[in-house]
Amino acid sequence: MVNIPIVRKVDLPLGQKTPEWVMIELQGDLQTDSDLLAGQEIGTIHISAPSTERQEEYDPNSSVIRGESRAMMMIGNYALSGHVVHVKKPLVVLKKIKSVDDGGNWISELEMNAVIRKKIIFKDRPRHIVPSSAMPKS
Amino acid sequence: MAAADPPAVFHKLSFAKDYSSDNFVVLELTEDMFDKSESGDVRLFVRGASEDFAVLCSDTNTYEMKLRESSNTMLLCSNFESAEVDNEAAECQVDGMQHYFLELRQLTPRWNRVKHLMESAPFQGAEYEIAVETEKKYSFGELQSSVQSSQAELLHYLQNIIYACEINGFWRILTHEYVVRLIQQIVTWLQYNSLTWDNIPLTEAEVALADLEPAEVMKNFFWPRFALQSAGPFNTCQLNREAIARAIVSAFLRTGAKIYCDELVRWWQSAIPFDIEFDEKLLGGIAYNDYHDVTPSYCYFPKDDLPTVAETRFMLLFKERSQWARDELVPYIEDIVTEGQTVDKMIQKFAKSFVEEGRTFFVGSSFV
Repeated sequence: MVNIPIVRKVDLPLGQKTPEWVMIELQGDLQTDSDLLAGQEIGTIHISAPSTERQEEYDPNSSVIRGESRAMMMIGNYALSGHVVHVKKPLVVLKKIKSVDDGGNWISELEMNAVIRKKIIFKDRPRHIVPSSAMPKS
Repeated sequence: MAAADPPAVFHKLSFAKDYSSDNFVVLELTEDMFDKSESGDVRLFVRGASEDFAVLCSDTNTYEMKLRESSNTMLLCSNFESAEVDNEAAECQVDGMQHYFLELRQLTPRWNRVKHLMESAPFQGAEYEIAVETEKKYSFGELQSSVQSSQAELLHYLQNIIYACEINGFWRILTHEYVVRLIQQIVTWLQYNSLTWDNIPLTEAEVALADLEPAEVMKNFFWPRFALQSAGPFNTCQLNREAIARAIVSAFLRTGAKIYCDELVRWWQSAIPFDIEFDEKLLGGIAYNDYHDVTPSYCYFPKDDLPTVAETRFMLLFKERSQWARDELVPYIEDIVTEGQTVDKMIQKFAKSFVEEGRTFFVGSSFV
């Protein structure tokens, strides 16, 4: 039976916490013409801190949660609106690594590369934005 | 934007230069499990053989790793928070892109595998040992490598659920006949020395029985399983009458599938070596009362032989009989109730209830 231990991030100094990453969750899939994703630009995100005034007038139909930061993302000609939430349970980002055990054998381990406690969720369908240059001139 | 709003932070997002699609797996843990595993207090292991679904074991629990697929895209961003914010956009890199994550659900290990292995060479008494091949005997480590279970759960199973004992470094299952033989040895010795069941001098008992039965079996199996906490100051103990009655009745019922109720009560009065009223509750998880039969009878139906997966357990229970009273059903479910669950929640999930003459009964849900 295979036994793969989950271990602390290997290069993390003792006493230091696992790095925190952020998860960005969006509807649908990201597609590109290029085969290689490495280095490709995705878009931009604007985060605005929760407005203290707006907390008072809570709208249950709105996807914006009271007191949460709001987010706006632009991917090409699409605009997505969402908000920042804290996840209920930590999500651990594991990476399979090879290391050498006491007996000099190669063994597999799962390294806790990072932990996610915060998510930026874009729940709604992306809105298509027509650039002003493409608008017919009146 | 209202004047009171703090300024927005602007991030520029791109895939990392060394981005690779299959770098990471995302696993949801509890806060406690994450903290303990980060500090090294608890070691978590992913365990499984090629034909198994992988499970996660902590020191004390076993979890199923359930795949939560999503049509959403999850981007993992390593430097979102720490990205420098000047007037210019902060550069953020995406290190991973996922369409699923793994979540945990506690499960009861599949003990049948362990039991099956151990049954290839049961312990029947020291005199039969010469015929037992060593390769059919298993050490704790060997048993653990056969089952997807945490160490603590396996030890609990061996010490409390089945009749088993570590003898000469191997964990052996004891036959019911052998367990009854041990009880008889004690009863004979007590009668011979005119001792009572409630005040057994342990040291003397151990010395007297040393020639008859292996000391390991008495010390690691018999006393822990059949004696109650010592009451007196002189290393004495009291025998657990209920546990002994269950062991004897279980060995008896194994010999036949069915027995008439009044016949069993008569047998009980003559065979149980001490005064204990026959009580159907003592048969819980061993046999059930088939009162729908023309002549009411008890059917031998041992819980230990049933699978540990809840769905299959319920399926077999309702295949055996179409309806169960609550108090009959509970002993057959108790051992597979996991953290955060209760017996009733579990029954509700797989069965429908109805009340007849003030007693609650259950029938299987349509999907069981």
